Amino acid sequence: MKKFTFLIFFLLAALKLPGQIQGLNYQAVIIDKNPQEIPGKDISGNIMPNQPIMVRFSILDAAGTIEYQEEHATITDLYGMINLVIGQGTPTASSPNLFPGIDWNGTLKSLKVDLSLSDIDIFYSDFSFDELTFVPYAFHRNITATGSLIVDGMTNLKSRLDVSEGSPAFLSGDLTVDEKTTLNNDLTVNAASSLKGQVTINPDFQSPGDKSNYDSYPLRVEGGNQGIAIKIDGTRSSNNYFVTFMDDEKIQGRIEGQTVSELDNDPEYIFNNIKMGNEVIRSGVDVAIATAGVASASSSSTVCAGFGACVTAPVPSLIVAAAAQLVLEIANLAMVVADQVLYNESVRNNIGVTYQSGSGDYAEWLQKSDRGEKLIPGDIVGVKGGLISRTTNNADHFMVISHNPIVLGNMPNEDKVLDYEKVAFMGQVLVRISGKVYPGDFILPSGKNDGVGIAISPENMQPDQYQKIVGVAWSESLSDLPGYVNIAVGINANILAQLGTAQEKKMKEQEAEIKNLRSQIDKMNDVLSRAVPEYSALMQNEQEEVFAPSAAAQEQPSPKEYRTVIYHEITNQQIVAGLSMAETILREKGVDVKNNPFFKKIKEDPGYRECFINDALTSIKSEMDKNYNADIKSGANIIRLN
Amino acid sequence: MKKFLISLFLVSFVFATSAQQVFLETGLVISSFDYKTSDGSKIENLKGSGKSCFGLGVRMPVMKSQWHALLEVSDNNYGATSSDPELGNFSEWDVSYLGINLGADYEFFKPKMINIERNGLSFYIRGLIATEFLLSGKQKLNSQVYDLSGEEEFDKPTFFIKGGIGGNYYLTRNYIVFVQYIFGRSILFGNYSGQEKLNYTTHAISLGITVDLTYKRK
Repeated sequence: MKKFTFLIFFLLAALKLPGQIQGLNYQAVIIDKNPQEIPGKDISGNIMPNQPIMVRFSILDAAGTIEYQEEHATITDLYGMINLVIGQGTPTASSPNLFPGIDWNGTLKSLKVDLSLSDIDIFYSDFSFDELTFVPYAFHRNITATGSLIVDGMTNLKSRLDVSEGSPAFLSGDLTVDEKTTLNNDLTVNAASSLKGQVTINPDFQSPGDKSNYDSYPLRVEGGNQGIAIKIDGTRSSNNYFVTFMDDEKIQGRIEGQTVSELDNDPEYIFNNIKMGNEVIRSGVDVAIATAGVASASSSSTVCAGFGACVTAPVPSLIVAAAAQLVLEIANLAMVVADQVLYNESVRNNIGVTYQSGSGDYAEWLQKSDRGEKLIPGDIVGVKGGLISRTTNNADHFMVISHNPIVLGNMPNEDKVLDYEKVAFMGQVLVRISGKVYPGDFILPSGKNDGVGIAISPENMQPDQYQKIVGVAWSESLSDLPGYVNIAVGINANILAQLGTAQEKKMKEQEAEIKNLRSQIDKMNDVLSRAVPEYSALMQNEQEEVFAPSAAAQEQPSPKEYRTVIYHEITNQQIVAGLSMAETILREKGVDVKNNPFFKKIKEDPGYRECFINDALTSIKSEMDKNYNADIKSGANIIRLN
Repeated sequence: MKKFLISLFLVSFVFATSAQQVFLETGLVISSFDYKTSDGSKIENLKGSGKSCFGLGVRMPVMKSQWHALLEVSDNNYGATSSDPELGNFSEWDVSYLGINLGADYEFFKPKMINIERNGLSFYIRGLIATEFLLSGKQKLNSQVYDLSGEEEFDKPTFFIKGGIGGNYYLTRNYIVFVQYIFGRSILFGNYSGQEKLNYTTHAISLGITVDLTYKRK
């Protein structure tokens, strides 16, 4: 056949291709458009089997411009069919793009097919021209759907998914993202969130941010009645850092878990228990003194001239008052003990976390008396009327400017920060000193109103210096030059208790010494009275001259006279009356006696009440026995009243 | 046209029968198509087929010699088949032509008349020219049947040159049976360059009877 024109019958099928093949399936039957000449009626519509042909595909845009063009050299099969994949041919020189470069943008696309019935003398003739009425190749990029795109089956996107023009995306089901997720704008989560990976908040603020500005904080928790809850796996211990504060250098502080054993080894806990223990000791001493007071009040001695009856009975009201004092001291002791018990019980019940930091003190903002005064950390300041300054003369308290407190309270408003300064209330703090300092020395203001402290050893402390104690040195400075030492502040009460105990001990020793001296004087008077008959008269006259103006002096036994001491037996009723008086005294002082642990237990627990009264009587009896024996030894006349 | 020719032939036949021999024949004509397309190529697998033929004519002695002139009207049926397994095509043709044959023959070994009777065998050779006109024709192409009327290759007068041999057997002086074989080949006139050309080759074997009307019993 010399010349062919073509009658077209083609079947175009656009199918989703399996695998990674890119292209459109194209099937066509090549039919001889020229009828076959035979006698009579010629045969038309003959297929063209086993025919080498060239096929040229052109994909045109709406304007008819070629977007892609390729050629295929193929041979028709026995049935005149060709099976080709558009996209797998050889792009022609006229093709502006490769097949993947076709912009399936939703506008009209057309497929033009040209045929050449020879693969040697190539001459293309039009074969077909058809519009692509749907997007035939869903794998391809840049598919633009001007309307809605509804996909009933699974959609597998092998490249990025962009939702542009500020269009929202709504997912009614779960969203699972295997790789990293980057959000360039606000994230709003309206339901509970569970983040199982590490979360890092690294804000990209334009400036470091104003610390007083709420918007400067990358993590803000607002709304609701509660804040942040941190829960760790299992039980907590010091190996669990609930919160760690760090900078570029190192960890600067942390909130960590704590166990009972760790609590027992916690320095703060030990310190508090020691302090409370000291309070118990001091209260115990007070009870002992009060007991002695009751014993003293329950007895009365009158120095009698000669051996006549010179009797002064104990005054019941004094006994009751002494008993009341005893009860108060016992109540105080009970409260101190109860405080320690309650503290330990509370701490152990609420044991959980501990806050650790390199900073060592607990401080508060205190207002400066002179806004212009420059105070630096380590300065010793005097507190008067709640205002601080370097002037320590006539100050009520003496404290230290803190450098970096672990806890800082009484925060002033931002605009008044310059009026305030951080003052250490408790813990360890560096203080400026002048002169040598040894651990254990008391630090006092220098008295020069210069913010510098001086060290006084405990042995050299004078009572008038007690109120000026700033703290106790825990480090040393062996140089005479000014420097800094680490001191402990806020434990002055404990120190004063210790000093009080030492003073009490000293007083008792002096009292015993006085008693001993008195006994020796009595014996000397006795000996002198016997040796010198006029001695007694002379001494009596001397005594009368000396002691007559004072009524109290009459109560003092004369060494020359025989004493008669009357011991009054303390009864339950007197202790009960003392309890009632103590309650009245406390109530008058504004103490909530009703909820006072001691009085509450006394009232609610009859057994405890009875035990308390018996213990008090036993203690008083024991004290009275001591005095009784001492009076017997002194040769006084003893009268015991029941 | 066909009706006109048939009517003309019958009128001539009536007037000519008074001194002629009249013959009637029928037989089998095996035809084949010699076909060339417009580019001169032939088609493959074009096979001829056998069809019937029928003829009615007059035969007249020329100058009382052994030569005879004859005129015959015939009805010839031709056929052929063609198949193309590669393309899956099958075609079959079946056409019927009315032919007007004019010819002459020379008779050998004619038996002598004995006692006014003639009995015996003779032979003759015959040559004819003929023109044939399509009476009907159909073409079966695959499953379709087409009427060939109007088809250029078939629906136009076809000229034949025919020749053959035959034998007469004189039953009596007046009744003769004959059998003959006639070969025919159609001829195209004019310029067929670039056009399809269809020629027929025919082989006709027929059996007939001749009635001699020239003898009049006195």
